[in-house]
Amino acid sequence: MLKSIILKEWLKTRRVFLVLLAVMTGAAIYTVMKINAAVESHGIVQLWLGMLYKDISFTEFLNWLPVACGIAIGVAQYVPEMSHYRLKLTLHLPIGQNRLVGMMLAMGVAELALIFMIQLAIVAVYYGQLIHPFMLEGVVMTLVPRYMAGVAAYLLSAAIILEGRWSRRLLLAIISVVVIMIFSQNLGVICAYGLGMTICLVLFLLMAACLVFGSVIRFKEGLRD
Amino acid sequence: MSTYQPVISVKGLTQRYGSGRIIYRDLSFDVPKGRILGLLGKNGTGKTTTINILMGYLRPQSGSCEIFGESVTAMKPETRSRIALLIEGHIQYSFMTIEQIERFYSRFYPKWNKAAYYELMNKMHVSAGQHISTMSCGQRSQVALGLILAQNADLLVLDDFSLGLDPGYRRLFVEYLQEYAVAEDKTVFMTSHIIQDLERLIDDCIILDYGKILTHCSVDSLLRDFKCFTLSLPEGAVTPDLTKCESIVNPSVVGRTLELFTFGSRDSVAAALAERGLATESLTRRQMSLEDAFIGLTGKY
Repeated sequence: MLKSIILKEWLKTRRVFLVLLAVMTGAAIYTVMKINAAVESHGIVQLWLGMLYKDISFTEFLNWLPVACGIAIGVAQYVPEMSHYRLKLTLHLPIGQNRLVGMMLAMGVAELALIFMIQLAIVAVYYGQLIHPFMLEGVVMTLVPRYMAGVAAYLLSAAIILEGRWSRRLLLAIISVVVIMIFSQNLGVICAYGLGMTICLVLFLLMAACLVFGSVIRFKEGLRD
Repeated sequence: MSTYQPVISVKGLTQRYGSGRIIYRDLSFDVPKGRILGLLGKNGTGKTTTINILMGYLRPQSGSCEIFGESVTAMKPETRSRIALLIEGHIQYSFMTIEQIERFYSRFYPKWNKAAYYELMNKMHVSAGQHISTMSCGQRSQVALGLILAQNADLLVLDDFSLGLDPGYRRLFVEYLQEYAVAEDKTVFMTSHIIQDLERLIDDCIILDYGKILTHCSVDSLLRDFKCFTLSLPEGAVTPDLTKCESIVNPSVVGRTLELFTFGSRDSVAAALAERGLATESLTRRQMSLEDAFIGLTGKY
């Protein structure tokens, strides 16, 4: 059954996934080239000083891309389910509703995680050759909340698309904007989020996932415009 | 003690459009095992709503529905695996190919019959790699039917299978379904807006009007007990008001011919007409199809 669900979700998202993978890999390579150019023109010492005293991470270009990825995967995965109410077919499958929705969400999150990890690996491997590990940790901790914002954007897109009523969709959209703003504040500031804040972000992700389950329950109750 | 348990049991179902117009009130019916039941009604009488409630996609305002003795609002996955569902318009996962969709569903159903699916697909002369989204409505209906046959479910729920199909594909669908349902002793609950297709297929029918069930009986008994009479009216005759005559249903005059329907006898109709000053020598019973009976019961408008 799991194989079948993976097949279905992959068939819906594969094109978008491959485009996003190319875009995010390209963005990582562009960032690496930018750092390389800065080192060649100003020297490695200036790079260190810029990172330590001016919070320059050279990853600003990547700020909003994860959010865009999350929305794109969400749209690719859930719009076909709501087109002609195909979700009825999915919910008729002989598998527990929560397990089914959980598997679909896990597939989307896994695709995003793979894209984000490849991008992070490219940036981190290159940075690792230039800067001290504690500074590298700072760069990684700067990027991780943005990737979490991407996952939040994915979950909230899913909740909005699977919701049947426009009034409720609007409410979810407002919640989504607020949540994404929380995730995205302090963009560009190295290591702006400490452990406590990161735990809060994880809780926000769980809340966003609960909203998806809520939308599916409401769909099953026939609460649709 | 009787051990009879219907496959579908609906009790006291009431449903409205939001908080507005009532769709039906206190709807109750059973579908016994091995019967093919057609739910018939004009547009907006609640056929698809009933299927949505039965499949657990709509919470009724009151009443209860059970399938295989289990409430539809909390149906176990094992019970759902015994039900094959056709959604209005033969909706399927159109982003899949013929081969992929078979592989997808086969893993969910233990009694999956791959041969039944491919037997139907081979008749269509389409390749296994063809996407469902590139198929005609008729071809998509065959894919949906093939999946239903392959699932080998105990209950088939089909919502308006004839929607968008030309006569050839409708006939093909009906013939396959009939042969399968009868041979395998399946229970079928279906709706269609093309009544003539159902006459060859269904054993029982429920005819819905706005808000209520008009009749629930076997097709044979409906066509035996419900009658259509015609009467030639003399030139210049004033058409009598028969709407208050309880035994007569939906009387209408077309040209100089009075047409009326009844569950009563010829004598009772003749008596009612004579009472209103009409000569009944030309009163003739007309043979009816299921579609005629449906229109006779529900009216033309």
